[in-house]
Amino acid sequence: MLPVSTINNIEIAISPQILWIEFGVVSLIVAIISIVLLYHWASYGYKPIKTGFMGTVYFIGILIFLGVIFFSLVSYTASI
Amino acid sequence: MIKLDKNEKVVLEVRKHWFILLARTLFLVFFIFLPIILMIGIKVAGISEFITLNGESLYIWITLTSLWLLFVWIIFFVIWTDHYLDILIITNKKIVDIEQKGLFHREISTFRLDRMQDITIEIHGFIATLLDFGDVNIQTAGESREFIAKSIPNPTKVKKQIWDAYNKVITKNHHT
Repeated sequence: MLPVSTINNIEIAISPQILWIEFGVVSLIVAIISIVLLYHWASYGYKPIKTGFMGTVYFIGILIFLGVIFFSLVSYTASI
Repeated sequence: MIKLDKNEKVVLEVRKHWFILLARTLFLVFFIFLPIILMIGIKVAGISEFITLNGESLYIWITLTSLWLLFVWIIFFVIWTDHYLDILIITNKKIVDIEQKGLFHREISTFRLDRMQDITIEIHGFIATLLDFGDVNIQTAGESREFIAKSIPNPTKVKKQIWDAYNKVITKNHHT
């Protein structure tokens, strides 16, 4: 094992294209899971009011997180 | 969604105690703070000094953290859905026990109230005693089946309400 002082600085190049593809894949997975959850709430939810409220909270959270990811990826792409 | 007959009314609907949901989701609190713990760990270990990203590293950190929190968010709602869809419904005619086991497995047991033979409740442990939740076991006639509604809040009260509904059905049946 090399002593720490001899390790050179490692430069990591994270391609924005790869990150955007990952963002697309994640969005797709989130959409599939959301459809499954929505189906359960609509079909099996005994009280539509409660599932409607929780569904709204869920989608607000999803939009916030996806929005933050989107804008941080835009900023990262611009910073290169 | 259960379908009710004509003149059928819901007497009681019970879900598992909130503590069960809390206990099932408690690990997510650790998951929420994991990116911060990891970042502190990387800083303390001095790893960040040897790694240079070709763009602004803050944005990558925000992206990965948001991605992680997004999945924590989804996991919470999957667990909540599983919890919410587990329900024991008592109507003036029947008992319906719906058990959601994950997103793709669902068991629905239904039996007529007049087939009920006995109800027993079991409260296990310190927390269950303190918060007043436990299992309600309902025995039915005929196929000698037993329905267990687990971790129900106020099991004594639920037992009484089921008996009351049962007595009404029996009295009504005697009069007709």
